[in-house]
Amino acid sequence: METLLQDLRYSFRVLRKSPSFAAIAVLTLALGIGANSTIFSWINSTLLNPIPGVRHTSDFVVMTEGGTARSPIPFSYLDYMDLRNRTRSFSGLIAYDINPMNLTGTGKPERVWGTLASANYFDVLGIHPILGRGFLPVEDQKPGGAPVVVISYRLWQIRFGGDPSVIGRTLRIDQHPFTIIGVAPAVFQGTQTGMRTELWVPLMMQQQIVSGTDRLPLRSETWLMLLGQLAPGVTRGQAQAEMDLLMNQIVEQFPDSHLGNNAVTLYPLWRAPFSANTYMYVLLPVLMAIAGVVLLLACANVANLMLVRSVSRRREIAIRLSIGASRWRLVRQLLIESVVLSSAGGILAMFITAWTTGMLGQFIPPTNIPIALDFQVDRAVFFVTFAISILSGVIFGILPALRASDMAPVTVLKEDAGSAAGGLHRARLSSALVVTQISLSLFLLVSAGLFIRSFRQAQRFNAGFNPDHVLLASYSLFPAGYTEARGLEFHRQLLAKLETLPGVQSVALASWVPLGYVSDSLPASPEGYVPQPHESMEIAEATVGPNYLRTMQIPLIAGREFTVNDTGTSQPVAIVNQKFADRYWPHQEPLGKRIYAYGVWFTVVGIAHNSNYYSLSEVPQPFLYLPIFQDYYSTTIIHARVLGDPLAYTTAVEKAIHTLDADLPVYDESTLKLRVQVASTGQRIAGTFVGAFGLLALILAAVGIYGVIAYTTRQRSHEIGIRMALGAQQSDVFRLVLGQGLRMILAGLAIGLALSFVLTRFLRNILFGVGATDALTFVGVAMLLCVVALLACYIPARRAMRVDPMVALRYE
Amino acid sequence: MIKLRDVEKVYESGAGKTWVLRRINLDIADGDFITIMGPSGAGKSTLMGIIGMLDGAWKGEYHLLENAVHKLDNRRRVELHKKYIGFVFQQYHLLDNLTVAENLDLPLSYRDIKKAEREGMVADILDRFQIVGKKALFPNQLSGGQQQLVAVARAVIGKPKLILADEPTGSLHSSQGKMIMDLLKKLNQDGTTIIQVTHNDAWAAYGNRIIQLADGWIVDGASKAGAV
Repeated sequence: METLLQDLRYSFRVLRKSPSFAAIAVLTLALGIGANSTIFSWINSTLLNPIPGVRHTSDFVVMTEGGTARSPIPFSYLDYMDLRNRTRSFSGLIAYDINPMNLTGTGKPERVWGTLASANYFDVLGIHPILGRGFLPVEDQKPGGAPVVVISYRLWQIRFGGDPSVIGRTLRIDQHPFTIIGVAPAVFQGTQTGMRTELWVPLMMQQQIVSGTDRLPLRSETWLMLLGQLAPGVTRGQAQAEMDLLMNQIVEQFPDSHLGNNAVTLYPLWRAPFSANTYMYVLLPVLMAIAGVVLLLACANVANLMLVRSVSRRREIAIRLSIGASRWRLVRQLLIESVVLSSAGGILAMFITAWTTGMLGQFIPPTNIPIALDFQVDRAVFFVTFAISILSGVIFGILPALRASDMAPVTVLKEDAGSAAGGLHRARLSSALVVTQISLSLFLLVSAGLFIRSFRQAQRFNAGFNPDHVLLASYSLFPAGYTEARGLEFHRQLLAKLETLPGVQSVALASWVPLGYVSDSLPASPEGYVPQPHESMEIAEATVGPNYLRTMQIPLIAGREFTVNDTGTSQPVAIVNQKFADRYWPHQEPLGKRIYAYGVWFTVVGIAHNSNYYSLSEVPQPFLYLPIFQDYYSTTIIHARVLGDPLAYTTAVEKAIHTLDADLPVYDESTLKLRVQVASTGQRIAGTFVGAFGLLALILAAVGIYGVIAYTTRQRSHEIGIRMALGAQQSDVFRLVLGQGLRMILAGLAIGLALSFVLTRFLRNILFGVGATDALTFVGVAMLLCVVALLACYIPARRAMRVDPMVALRYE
Repeated sequence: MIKLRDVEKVYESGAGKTWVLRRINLDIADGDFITIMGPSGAGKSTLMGIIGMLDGAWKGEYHLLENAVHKLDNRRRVELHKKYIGFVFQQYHLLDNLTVAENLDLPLSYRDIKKAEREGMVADILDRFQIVGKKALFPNQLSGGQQQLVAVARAVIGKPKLILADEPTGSLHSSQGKMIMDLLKKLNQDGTTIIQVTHNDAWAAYGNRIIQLADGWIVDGASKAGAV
């Protein structure tokens, strides 16, 4: 231990004597380690800790009924109750639904997101309110009979100034009085990874919170997300088998309310649907792997620096050997120096991570859901960074340490100071490291190139509508106390006002924005179509107003758009997309056909061109538009196509709304262009970060090859002197040095290309519009790296040309 | 103390074998002060390296104080080296980044001696060599003679039975050289066996026997009776 401290002290002293080397090594390592600790901080905050404040999250699963991970389907309240009462696999099963809620009463009116939750919510999650209590079983029994609310710590602080006497006070939510019964812990922000909710209200209060019909007694109303805690000793597979069995029983018992696919799927929280992890679990492991390659590259670079530097330390090492140091002791000492360097890199990396960890959140475009990705540099990040640092120190230190300590001390001690016999072995190892660097850099650059091209493709992609020059703004009528009739009248009057605003070319109302995080679907039966066995008839749907297709510039293939006359008293109508018509009514005239949904027949009056609804990479799927004046939505998004900058119209649109209702909050004002960026978020994140990694790789490769060529050229100055004394021209020397570099470059490129061909296939799932072995990217990147590497060789080659043979020979 | 039998050292290259030492047979008794002399390339330093166990690639038999070195693995040779041998070089070879005291402490730390004991030993040697005032200085703050003095102190601090001094005065002017040679003589009189390499006849005279090497062969002085 004591000699260890001695080695440590000596390491600090040695590094202080070489500040430039130490600075370059520490910075290189900090960037490599920082890349890894940053990505790990994201993984830690999402995949590893999907619900902040809840322990043992690996015991929890999320369930969907039918659908897919991208477009999952929740459960009805009655199905939930049946599953909950019958299951033995779960020690607790909770149901919840997230909704916007308007807060009035005390303080300024505010729109926040809240959770309607089953009464066992806090108990199953193991969350104990820091003030007051959670829900009681009795609050799960009578519809409308539990007007109580647990508020978030944040809301408690902001709205109530952290007043401890808040318990028992009344909070008006959506115009209804609720008694505050508890304050949740600060760390807890809800069960959806990446989403923050401020209120928790019992499920029994759904009619006070969600507009429309009473959903509790309807088995066909699927609206609840289920989250279960596995009973001790039960595996996810066993729970899945039990849920399949129970759901089959329920479907057999109630076939009419379970059309289509009702298969229950259990997801671990790290890849749960309805949450940020749906995206993160695909993206982050790939980024982590790529960051790992960056670190390897940084290690190869520093190893090379150490090798070059070890030349000047041969005498010291020979002395140590001659006075009794064992090789192991020397290797240990050199490794301690490496670990000191990597630890310094790790400390700097922590600072970098504290700065970069929040960057991911900045890549999430504005959306209508409360995204709150709160990335923290916590203890886990610190320990992982520390471990990565130590590991890096060993990785880049071991080869130079073994090589440096492998010498004949007598020979070295008899050499003149500064002589570098034995440099050839070192040069070979250095060259091997440079070839490794070039090949790893090429892989990183190819990955960066693919992601950047992918992002550009996503930006250019025609999703079937024109996102330019469209302003979006939302308002919600139900929380403001509007009935359906008053709401419909409000929509109508507002549309009339907005259409007359100067610069507004077209305006429409809709329940959704395509390519966002949210989607809607309904069980529907196209007239005359007989579903295949087990075919899901859950059809993607949006409720839109008159002029929607025109405003979005979605081509209308046949028929007409909705009008203000498509009301509750007129014939129920629908517009379908081309794929819907082709899928359910092939070779038939779709106009005039009918679709059965919500207990009524909707007549098709228009055929819209296919567009992308959920993602850029989706295959065309059947889609159904219903008219907003027949299928009333109280929460509505204004779509206004305007001349010029859409955000310049924000004030005018707000004013139009407030002339009708001065107190109605307008929120989520944005542009369609920004909102649809959600669809390319993965491409943008990957493009940006892998692009940055690629740039770093390019710099490291250039520095690495420059260092080795410069070093070996210096080693060969005697040889070059002899060659020149024998008549070699400057151009011969230039070719000699450049040729050495070129051999390394070509070897590195060949290995790098092979490596990239093998590894880029793992990126396929995240790429868009570009193949994993895109020839243009491979060739372009290889050429770029070749040029940069040759430039790095050029400087030492020029220097070698100026070698004075007399000086070189005398020196030796 | 030392018995070498048919020790040979050869370098193999594409052009064939280059013999550095040929059939070296040598006996050195406890308390000897041996001088090895010979022209450049005669193999003097190589022989020192083999005796000092810094060179492992040789053939033949080597016995040091009843230990058959030729049968030992590298780890055991290092142990033997640490226990019995101290080195002094022409270029002093002090570590530039360590103070005088730290340079003296270094071989002790490689012998896993406890810190308190080491501190005592370093203080003793500083006192004995009268360099207490220099203990906090770095080598580049000392004259050549002072550096070599520290190097000798470092060689003897572990109380070796054998000191190998490879041209210990080669970089010193004559008065400093004499000081070092006197010191070596004193150590020898106190019981330490010394083998030195030198080109200087005056310094060679400090020893009790001269071994002449030429082209890898011992041409004179292999034993007290003469060449083998």
